Amino acid sequence: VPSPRTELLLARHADSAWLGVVRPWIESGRGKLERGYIVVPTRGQAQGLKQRCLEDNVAVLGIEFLTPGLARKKWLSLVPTGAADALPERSPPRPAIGRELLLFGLRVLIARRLDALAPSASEWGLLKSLQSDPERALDDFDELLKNGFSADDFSIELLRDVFRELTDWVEQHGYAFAAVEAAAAGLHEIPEGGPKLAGRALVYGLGAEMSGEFANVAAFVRRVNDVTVVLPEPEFRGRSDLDERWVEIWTRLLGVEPLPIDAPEPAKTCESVGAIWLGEPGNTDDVDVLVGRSRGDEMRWVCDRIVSLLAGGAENIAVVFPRADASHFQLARLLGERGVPFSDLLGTVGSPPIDVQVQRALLTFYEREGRIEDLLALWPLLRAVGSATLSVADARRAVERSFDLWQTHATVRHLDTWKEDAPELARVAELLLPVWPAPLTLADALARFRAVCDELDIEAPEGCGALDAFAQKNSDLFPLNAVAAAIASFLPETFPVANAISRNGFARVSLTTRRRAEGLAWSHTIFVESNLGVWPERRDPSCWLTDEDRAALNVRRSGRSLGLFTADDRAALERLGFIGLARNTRDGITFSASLYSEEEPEARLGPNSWLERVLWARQEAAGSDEGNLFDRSAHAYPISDDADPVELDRWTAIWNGRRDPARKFDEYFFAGDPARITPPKLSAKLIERGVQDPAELWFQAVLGVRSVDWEPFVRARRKALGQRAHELLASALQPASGTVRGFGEMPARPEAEATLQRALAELRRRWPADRYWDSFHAELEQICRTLLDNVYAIEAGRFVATEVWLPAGAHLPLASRNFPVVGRIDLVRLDRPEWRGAHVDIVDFKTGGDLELSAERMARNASSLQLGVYLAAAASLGATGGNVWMLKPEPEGVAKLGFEELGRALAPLAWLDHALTSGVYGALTRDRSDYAPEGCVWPLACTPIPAAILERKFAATFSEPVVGETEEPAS
Amino acid sequence: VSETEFNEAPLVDAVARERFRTEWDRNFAVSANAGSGKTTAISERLAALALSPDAAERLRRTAVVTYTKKAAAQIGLRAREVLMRRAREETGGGLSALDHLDRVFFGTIHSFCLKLAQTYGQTVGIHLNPTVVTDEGDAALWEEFVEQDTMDFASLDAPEIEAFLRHVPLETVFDFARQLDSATAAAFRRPIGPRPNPSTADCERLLAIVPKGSGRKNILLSQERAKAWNEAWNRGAAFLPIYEPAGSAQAVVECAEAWMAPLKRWLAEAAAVLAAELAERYRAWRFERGVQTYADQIDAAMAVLHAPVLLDRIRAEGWRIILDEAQDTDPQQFAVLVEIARPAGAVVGTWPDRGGVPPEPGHFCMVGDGQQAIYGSRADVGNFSRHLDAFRRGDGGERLEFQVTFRAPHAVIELLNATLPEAFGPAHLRNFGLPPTEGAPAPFLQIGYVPLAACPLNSAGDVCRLPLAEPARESSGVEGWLAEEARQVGRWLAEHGPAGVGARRWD
Repeated sequence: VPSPRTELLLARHADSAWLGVVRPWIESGRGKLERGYIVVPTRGQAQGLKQRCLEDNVAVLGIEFLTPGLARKKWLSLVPTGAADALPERSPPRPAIGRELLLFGLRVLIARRLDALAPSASEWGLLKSLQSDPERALDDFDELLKNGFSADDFSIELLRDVFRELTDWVEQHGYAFAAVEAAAAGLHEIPEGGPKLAGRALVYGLGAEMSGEFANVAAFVRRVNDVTVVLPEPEFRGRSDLDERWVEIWTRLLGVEPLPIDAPEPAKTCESVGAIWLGEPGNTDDVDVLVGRSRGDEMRWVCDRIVSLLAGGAENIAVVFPRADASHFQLARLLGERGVPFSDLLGTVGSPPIDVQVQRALLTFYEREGRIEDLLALWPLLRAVGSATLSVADARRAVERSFDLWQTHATVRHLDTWKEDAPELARVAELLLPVWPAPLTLADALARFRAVCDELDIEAPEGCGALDAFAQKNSDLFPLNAVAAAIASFLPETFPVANAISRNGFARVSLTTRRRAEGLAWSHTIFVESNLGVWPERRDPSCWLTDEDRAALNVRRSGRSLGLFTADDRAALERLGFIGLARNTRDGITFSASLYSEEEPEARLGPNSWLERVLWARQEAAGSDEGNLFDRSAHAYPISDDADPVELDRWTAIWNGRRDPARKFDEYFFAGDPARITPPKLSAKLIERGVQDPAELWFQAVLGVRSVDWEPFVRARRKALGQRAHELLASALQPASGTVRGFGEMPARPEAEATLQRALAELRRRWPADRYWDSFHAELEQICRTLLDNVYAIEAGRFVATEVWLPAGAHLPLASRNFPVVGRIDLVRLDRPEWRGAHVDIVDFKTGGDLELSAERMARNASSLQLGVYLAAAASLGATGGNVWMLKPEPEGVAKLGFEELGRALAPLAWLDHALTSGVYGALTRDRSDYAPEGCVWPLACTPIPAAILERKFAATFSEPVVGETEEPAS
Repeated sequence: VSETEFNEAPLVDAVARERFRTEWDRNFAVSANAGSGKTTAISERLAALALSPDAAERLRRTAVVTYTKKAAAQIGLRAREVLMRRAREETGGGLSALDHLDRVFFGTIHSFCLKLAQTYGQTVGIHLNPTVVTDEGDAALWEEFVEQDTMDFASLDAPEIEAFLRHVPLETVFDFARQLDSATAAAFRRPIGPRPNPSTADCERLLAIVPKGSGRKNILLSQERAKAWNEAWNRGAAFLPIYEPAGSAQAVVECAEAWMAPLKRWLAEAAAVLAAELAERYRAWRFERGVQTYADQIDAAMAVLHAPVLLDRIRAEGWRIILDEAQDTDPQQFAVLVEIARPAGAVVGTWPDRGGVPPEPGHFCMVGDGQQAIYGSRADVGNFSRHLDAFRRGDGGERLEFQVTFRAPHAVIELLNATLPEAFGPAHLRNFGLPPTEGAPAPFLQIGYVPLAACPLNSAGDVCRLPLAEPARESSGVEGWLAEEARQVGRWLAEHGPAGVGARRWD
């Protein structure tokens, strides 16, 4: 780089670099109207240097801090489109293709190749694997380009072909690869008189790990006349060759020899702590170790440690996280709670804006061809933006009902049903439909996407300019999943939290990462999450560019590249990076770790390899041989007990009372003032379930809460068969002619059979012609015909009504009151066309389970109590006699209960009367089990009390035998 | 008792333990009973390997696989602790050996298979970025598959399918199809022949039973149903579920079972064929969706091993396998681990049963205890025994026994040694082991009992024996006997209270 001033300096300590180079460099511009650029690896260094300027009262007027990405924008700004002399190797320059489009291109090329192949083709397997992991292949390709290689350098022939094709595809669409452009701009001299940036530049802190950005920074440096570069001094240990070669590359670029900086080394440093990791003699005097029982404990200890360091006068503390994770979030919260100012360089990210969330959900809906579960996933988001008002629970129930009917996940099939049942669901579905065709053009997809956003009154997707530009150039048809993935890649997955605590402010505490903290001087450094497997993290190479491939290619690397890093290289550089942090720490280092995993509390964790050695060294120094120091260092964080003791005792008493088997159910456990909570009426079905578990009554009838299962929509054959059989029989047994109050003449059997046959045929046409539905239909037909046989086997009145609602006035004669009851009966037969004075036969079709009907069973465990309630309700309507029948789809599958047995059968209703009168319901909820295949049972008590205790509480409350307690005698 | 004291206690199996620790160029099958310190033994071997002169090379391709992530992580941690202790004792410091341990793979067998597939499987079309679903978590996935599937079958003729669907809903094969692995599905796809008729003679026997006693009503009902079933069978066409008698009268049940047996057998075979076809389609669909079950991970590794070039490439890398909980490892998983440890060119599937070349010395060790097998549904103790037997006869390695247990008191150990051999012996009346071959009669296969020895430092302990009474009615199967035992023990505990077992209270 021929320039008036070019310097290449090597710094071993950040503090020395600051005093010897950075500060003088900044101060030398004081009083001049001159632009200065400081190029640093990440925004962490920019933040750190700015803070140091603030602390040392150094003015930074006119200084601009640049990361390599921003430096790229600077040099690109000097290259106007069409400028022939801008880049030595290409004219005119083309726009660099972004990763999103590149990935789209790769996906499309792979899909096209696969379309042309049979699975037996030799290339098929590799292409399928490549299709499953294009991202890593693209990362490898990018790495090749950055190191001066090309698609030709993949070791697998097919991969070479695919990426050559991708290279051509990029060219054909008028784009260039950013890495290639940067190499052209950075590695070749610019022509005489070429455009330059005014001002001077300081490149600081770029280590060998940043070699991928070398070309960008070099391109920037070439376009500045006054350049000072400060590199980390090579370690001369470990994998030092990379450090040394890094300096050589810069020497070659700048054309000057590197010089050590002329500044004193810091009087104090924790360098020896780093040496321990390399197996060298070290010193642990300045090391603290905090081990929490859990990660949460660890963060609390770290928070205490920070507070204590600040109180002791710590100047700047780096808290080094492996990544932004839950622990980082927790520490940020703890510091916020304690009022400790901090600068958060990891940033707190959250969900993107609600409109973007809707957009992403829409893409999923279309990519999966409009499935009902994706519509339901979209629903709460649509409610949030005001595009829908129906509650999520109601939407779910409506979809469940239509799924029961249609047995398909395709939204379009449900539309007509929703128009009747849930108009709002239908309205939104109509806005979303039709689903996108496949394949389709990008322009078509974008237009459809924007149109639906408009219909739903949400923001149109932003930042898709590159995709729009591409869509205008290319009218090919693409696979639906590739198109959806391409659009999704332009939508943010996360978003910075706007009101996050202390982001980017200046403070004495910085939450940061190793990469962002390097090259800065710290008074104290805290390495958190120092557990084995957390950091350092060994990253294996992908199968597309293995370590062996990398080593082979590195043999012929150019002198302007460090070459492709192997897993060992990366691990060594990471380790040296951490050690460098220790070197740049003056007063003390703290390691924190957790003894147990937060996710798996029984899994014990170990110290990472650095902390392991530090603990070892500490034991060696102390001459101690006492077992596992890591385990012994672990302490649970004491829980502060600042609760009001009176209030605490009160709640403890309530808590214990709920679990006391001798204590009756009270106002803290499913009981209340009967004047306020008694439901106005009950359904027969709920009465049966409520007697079996009063908690059902409590939730559904008293609180009015209904469970909404959020299980996947899966076909339940038995349920579907039952529902369809009920519908078909109701249709076949409808009165033959006119009706009086819903009752009419029972159709003759041949007529009913013919109606059933027609209905069955109609139903079969609703479903696909395949073996599954053939099988379903055959079984349904058998069920219906057997039940019809059984209906006609009953001797009963000639008037019939199907799916009959109990009329108003139907009630249960309880001891204290007549209680209104509702319910729908499958089939009622009367000997006259009205309830009053009739002999009634109530028929219930049982298509599932193995329930039996008897007064004994009903009295003992409320089995089929619903049917007894129907019969009692019929009596309340004036029926003078009759039966309730349970019909099963098996020959002779007929059982009945007569009027005369009602008194015995309805014995459980004494409890209901008691509960309604007293307002005390209680619970008999079955025990939950982690191993129960159906998961938790409904209703859930708000605290899980064992069923055995509930039964004893129930007995204590109602002083009578517990329903369901007695075992069924063997038949 | 401190760890050091335990480490220094004189053990009767000390030689076996020391051999396992230090003989790295030998393969061992270690029978290690409960509480014998398996984790420690493996950790000791790894630590010794890490301290050896060529540790970097040996451990670079070493995999310690077990059944849970937690157990694998614990072995890894333990190995580091042991190494540090050894480093202090034997080498007087220096921890560079820890770096070698960093290279060892510690994980579940499934994660190891995934690693193998992802590292080597790209040319055979392995999905490199799968989403793993648990067996329980794939209900929605299966539903999605079923809805888009053609639900048409080519593995049976149309009349065969119709005959099957006349008696059984197609959905009954779904659960089976969801769980079938690739190898089992392939084995099921075979011709089954025409549907047999139910045995008329057995039907007539059923109809001839004289109704009497308390079961009279059910017998009559069963006979009516049998007649109706026969008529429906002869009429053909309509859906006709398998005949079920009413009640449980033994004579009726036996006749009904005999009557339906040929049809049931045929239906079972047809179900297997249909399930296998569906399972294959489900597997292909999962692949397209980028979803893997745990079984898919094993299948993926097997696919890699069936590519000779890839297999030899893996073998050439010199993987060393230490398999923990070997008794719970199913045959497919065993095959993956064994095959990669064999020399290049060895024909897949020829060891231990077909005289093939065994794993390379020092490249395959297994530690387990057949008596602790807990995955009865998927593991195959027979397969474990075959490998154990090979080592016992010196084919591929040696068998070592760790008899000493650190867990149980002396008195308990004496009782176990005195009673268990007989309880599990072939002469025992109710030996619930596995048939040596499919359908073979008793005596059933049981893992031979290895007598336990107490560590001298174990406590003396105490035992009392609760004799269980023979129930009036014979229990059925393991679960039935277990329930009977639980009833009797529960009753005894209820009668005697905590004091009966020397405790003050239950909680």
